[in-house]
Amino acid sequence: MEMNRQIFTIEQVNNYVKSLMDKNPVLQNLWIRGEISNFKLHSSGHMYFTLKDNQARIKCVFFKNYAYSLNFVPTDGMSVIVRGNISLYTRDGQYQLYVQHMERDGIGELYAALEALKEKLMKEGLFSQEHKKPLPAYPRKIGIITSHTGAAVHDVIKVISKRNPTVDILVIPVAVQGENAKDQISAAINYANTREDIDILIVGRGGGSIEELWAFNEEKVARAIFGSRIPIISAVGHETDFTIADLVADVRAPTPSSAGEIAVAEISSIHEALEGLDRRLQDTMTNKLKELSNYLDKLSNSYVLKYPERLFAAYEQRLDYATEKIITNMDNFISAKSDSFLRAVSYLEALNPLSVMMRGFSIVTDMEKGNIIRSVDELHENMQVKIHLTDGNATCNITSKEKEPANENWSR
Amino acid sequence: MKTGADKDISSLNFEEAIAELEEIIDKLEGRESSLTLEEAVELYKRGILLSQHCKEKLEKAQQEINILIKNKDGELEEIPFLEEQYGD
Repeated sequence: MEMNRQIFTIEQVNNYVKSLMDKNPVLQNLWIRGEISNFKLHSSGHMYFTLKDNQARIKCVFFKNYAYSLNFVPTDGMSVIVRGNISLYTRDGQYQLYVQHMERDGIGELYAALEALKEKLMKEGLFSQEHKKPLPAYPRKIGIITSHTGAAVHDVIKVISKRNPTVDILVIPVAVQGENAKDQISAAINYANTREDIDILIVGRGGGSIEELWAFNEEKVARAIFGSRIPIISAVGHETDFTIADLVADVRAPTPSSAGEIAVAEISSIHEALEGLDRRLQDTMTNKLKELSNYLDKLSNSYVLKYPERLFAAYEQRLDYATEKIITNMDNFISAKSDSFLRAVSYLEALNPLSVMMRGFSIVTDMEKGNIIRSVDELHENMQVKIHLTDGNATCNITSKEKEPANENWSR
Repeated sequence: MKTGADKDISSLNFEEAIAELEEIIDKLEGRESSLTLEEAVELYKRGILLSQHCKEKLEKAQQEINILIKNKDGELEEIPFLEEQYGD
């Protein structure tokens, strides 16, 4: 029998077993549910891991040309359903599952829980617009709450430093996935709020599967964001749906880089804004002075200041009028006086004995005593009297006298 | 007229200074403002100083990028964040 024995190489055996497996239709297309462990992403892009459940485990390989269409990054502990074929890795004599498709298991339940929490927080008003805090226009310091080793922190720092290299940055490192993530993220938010120097918080991480982003769907994180005095920009890179952190945050940025852009204005635009303010300051002052100077011009051009003499014209007129009036009055007064004088004069004239005498009357005086004789009673025979005429007088002797009572009223 | 106008400009940070500058301009631009010329000139002078202060702040500011760590005594400490120390 010894002669008949056929001795194979290990490789021949493995190849034979492999050929049996490859011919088996059942092994060509299998769906398997399990949990990922010992996950390794090789630099070639191929993925190696073990799929396990409580009873058993199986080695898996997920080649790059199949894995490239994956919309999540597999991680240890992730529940998945895979489809592939079983074959043998001849070098190690180990059979393994060659994965062609992978989907997440239990996602439906995760989403249901997420929706329920979303609903609850929405009813409480955590997402409502009235609670959104405005971002300060000119922040001095930005706090970044994320993993200090991920790409996210570098993206944010790069963007901020490029846009405005005067804004300070404080990285508050936290785990962004795994057991402790929700506690660390919420603690970091609360810590930042004890400081006075942070103007904006960016809370986030790079893209990942729903499990990796789960911390940003936790109620504890949502409440910490809601309770923050400092405005928060969420920056959770992800595929389509918003995380709860995005809904609670004051501003949602689709990626960490865009969070940097939202937080910090370009320094050139700040310079421009400052120049604009300078211009406004100059313009408003210039205008103010121009207005005042115009007003001053207007005042100095006003009627009274420009023609000050006109200010007096009215007075002059009044003065003229008054002068005229007083002269007129005086004239009137004088002519009235002169009239009455003339009247008095003519009256006096009428009384002038000379003018009486002109009309043929004469005055008789006692030659001795010189008094005017007004009555025949003052006369006696042989008495000498003087007869006064207008152009001379004559001496006469009284030879007789005779009384005539009818002539008495003449002397009045 | 009292809003921070008596505060020493050098003690203002950029945001406070630019906010006060905006406030002064609004006041000066105000149509029905009852500012006297002296008040307007005072505001203008302060506006110029605020604007200069803002420009200086921008030019002189040195960016600090720090990371918060726990030192060996368990106390929080800020040290410069050096990107090359934390490769991907």
